[in-house]
Amino acid sequence: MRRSLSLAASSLALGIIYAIYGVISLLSGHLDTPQHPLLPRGGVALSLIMLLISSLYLYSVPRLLHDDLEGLSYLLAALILSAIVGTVQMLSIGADALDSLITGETYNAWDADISAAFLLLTSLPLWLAFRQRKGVE
Amino acid sequence: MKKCVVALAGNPNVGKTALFNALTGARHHVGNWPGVTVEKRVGWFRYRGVKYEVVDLPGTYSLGSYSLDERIARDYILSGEAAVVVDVVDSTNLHRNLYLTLQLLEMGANVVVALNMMDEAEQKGLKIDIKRLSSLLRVPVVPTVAVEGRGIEDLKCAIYEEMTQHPRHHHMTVGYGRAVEVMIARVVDVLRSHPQLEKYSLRWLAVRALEGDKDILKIIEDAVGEESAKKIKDIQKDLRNVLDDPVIFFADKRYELIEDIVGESITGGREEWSYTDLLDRVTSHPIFGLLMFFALMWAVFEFTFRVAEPFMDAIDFLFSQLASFATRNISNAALSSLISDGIINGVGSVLIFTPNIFLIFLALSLLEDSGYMARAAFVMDRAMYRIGLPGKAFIPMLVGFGCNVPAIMATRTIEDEKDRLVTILIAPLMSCSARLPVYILFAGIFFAGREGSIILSMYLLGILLAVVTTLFLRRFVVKGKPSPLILEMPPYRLPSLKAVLLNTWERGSAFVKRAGTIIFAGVVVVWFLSTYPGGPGSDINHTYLAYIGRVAEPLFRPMGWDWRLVVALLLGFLAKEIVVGALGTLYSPSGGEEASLRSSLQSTFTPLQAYSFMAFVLIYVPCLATLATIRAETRSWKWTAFATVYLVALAYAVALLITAVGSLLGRWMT
Repeated sequence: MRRSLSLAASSLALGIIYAIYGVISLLSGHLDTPQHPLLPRGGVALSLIMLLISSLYLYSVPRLLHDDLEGLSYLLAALILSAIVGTVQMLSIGADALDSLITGETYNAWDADISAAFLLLTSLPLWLAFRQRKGVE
Repeated sequence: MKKCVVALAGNPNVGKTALFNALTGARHHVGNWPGVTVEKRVGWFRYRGVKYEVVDLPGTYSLGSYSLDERIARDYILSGEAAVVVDVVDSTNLHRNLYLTLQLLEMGANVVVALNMMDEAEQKGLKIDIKRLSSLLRVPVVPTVAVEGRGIEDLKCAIYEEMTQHPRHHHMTVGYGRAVEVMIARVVDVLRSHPQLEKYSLRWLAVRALEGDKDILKIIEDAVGEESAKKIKDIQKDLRNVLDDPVIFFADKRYELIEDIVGESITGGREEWSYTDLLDRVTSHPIFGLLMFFALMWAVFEFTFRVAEPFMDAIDFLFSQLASFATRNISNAALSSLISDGIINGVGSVLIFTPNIFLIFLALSLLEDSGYMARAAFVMDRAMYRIGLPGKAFIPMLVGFGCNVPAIMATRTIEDEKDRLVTILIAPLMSCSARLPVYILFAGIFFAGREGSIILSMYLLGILLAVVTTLFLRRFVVKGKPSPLILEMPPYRLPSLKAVLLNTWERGSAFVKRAGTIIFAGVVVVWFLSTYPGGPGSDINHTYLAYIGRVAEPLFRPMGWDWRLVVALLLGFLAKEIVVGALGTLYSPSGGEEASLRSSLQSTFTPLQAYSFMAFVLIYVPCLATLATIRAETRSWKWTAFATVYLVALAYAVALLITAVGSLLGRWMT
């Protein structure tokens, strides 16, 4: 029960963070938001996906609190989706760096948007906690 | 020595082949079922002085007439050739497997149930009361683990005992409720006293007739004559007054009985979920499942476009160096122009997209191998059934994202002719890999920073138009309802690197091969038409290609496209890969660099014109090979002509609409 509680709390925290990031990402095209590698500016599609991940995390919270295995379903889906989005972003950053080597253009690492990759790192402890949760083969 | 035929029936993936091998050892041969190319395996074994011939039936979930496999299995059992039918059941999933068992019992077959994969059931903590299950089904039930050979002797013994007793009539019947039972009895009365029907279970024939099984209705009509057949049709009408959908009603009643049987014979089972169980809750969810699908598709396209960029630049650099090397070292003007402007520039501008092609297939192969694609088919089925497409159409449509030719060929898995025709006609709207270079080129030039979303919008537009086309076809051209989806969900697993890479290589290398053959030939033709009659260095406005393009240009003037874009579209009829190659030759006739093409296009067109051009390329006829495949698969010139005219007209209408709406929006916003 205690473990479910901590999973639910972590899920809630990540759900809120992803929601905030999703909204910032949506607004970044329209408002003069500050540019920082940890702040998202990925366009509409990435914003909507961040909001989807947020909703999956938040959807899992009440179920985890009731020790319902279905809560783990939504948590796992959110973790996998955030891993995919984060990985794609990291690969894109690597590709941009490689491209600058080939074309000879200057590459400024501080210009890169690493928000999704950062959120993936943030969710790693939840991955570990999930794997230790009993009730999953 | 006595002989006996034993048929092996069962759902797919229940260990039927393992059981067949365990029973027969290496003593078997492989052939085809009469009249079809479905594999038929027959083996032998001996037991207590009897020689048994074992016939492996195709794996099916039921015995209706939805698929060829079902019809083969059903017809073989109906033929009465098999003295005993061994129904192989997955003991970890009795709910699903017992549906076939009930149908076999309803048919009156002499059934022995092989309760296979008992080891997995035990691992899951399931306790199956074999005696209780046997008494509820009123047939012998033998626990087996076919892969280890466990329970095989007991199974042979059960087959022997079932064979040696007189053919018995199982008394276990599915109850369908009083009102429906009255109608079943009325049909049975009509069927009675017809000698041709004596070999069948009349109750089963009556139930299938009321379910509307066309094959069974044909058997009945042939046997009882028109007058009695009319009586049965009247009873069918009476039934439809009572029930909304008889097929669903009969299936529900069988599942109700299965629920009772499973409830009484199974206990235990740990409250543990596998990763597959967990993920399926979300990926098969009607809302979250769809959203996950779109999110994954976005990730696929983002990965394809962004990660490919450095490799594309490297290829571009290589080809520009090759072109300038050829220009510097070949003194003959015509030959130099052919090699640098025609071949290197044209083929290079297509090959530059090789990284994109390989990456998109890599991503799709990863999804396929992980087991996700079956879930995608499942979540899409709900939506597809509503618009009038069978769930199975999702697979050809998915293949269509690679190439439309195998997509159209993949429609062979769709049994219903009308369903198949509709799927063939909409398959070209799935954006194949050959169109991707056009999107990448235009999105990169006109929508920098939003390429992923713009390219995704093309794919979504293709899907949307497929939906609209299906609705149109179902309403006016090919009327009728699609058949339901039956799909095996494989467990999720980590993709095998070897399988994924092999799959990617097979699909991606086909693109490179096309670049070396048809595209090569295409760009040489384009070079010739865009160089002569004036010769190398002459004004492109006075070439054969310019003459052709100018004739057709007025048609496309509303979209603001110049004759060069029109020519590229005309050449795209041969193969879509040629479009970018042709643009390379037409817009950068004097240089071999990608940058030259980009700047020429950028200075000639607006983003709106570029977007409408991309839409046109998406929609109009994919290539000659696709048309040839439509002709071969439909065996009809009429449908091939229909597809051609419809797609070109639709492309024109959509491009015009995009131009008009975009212009209005532009004026409104400024």
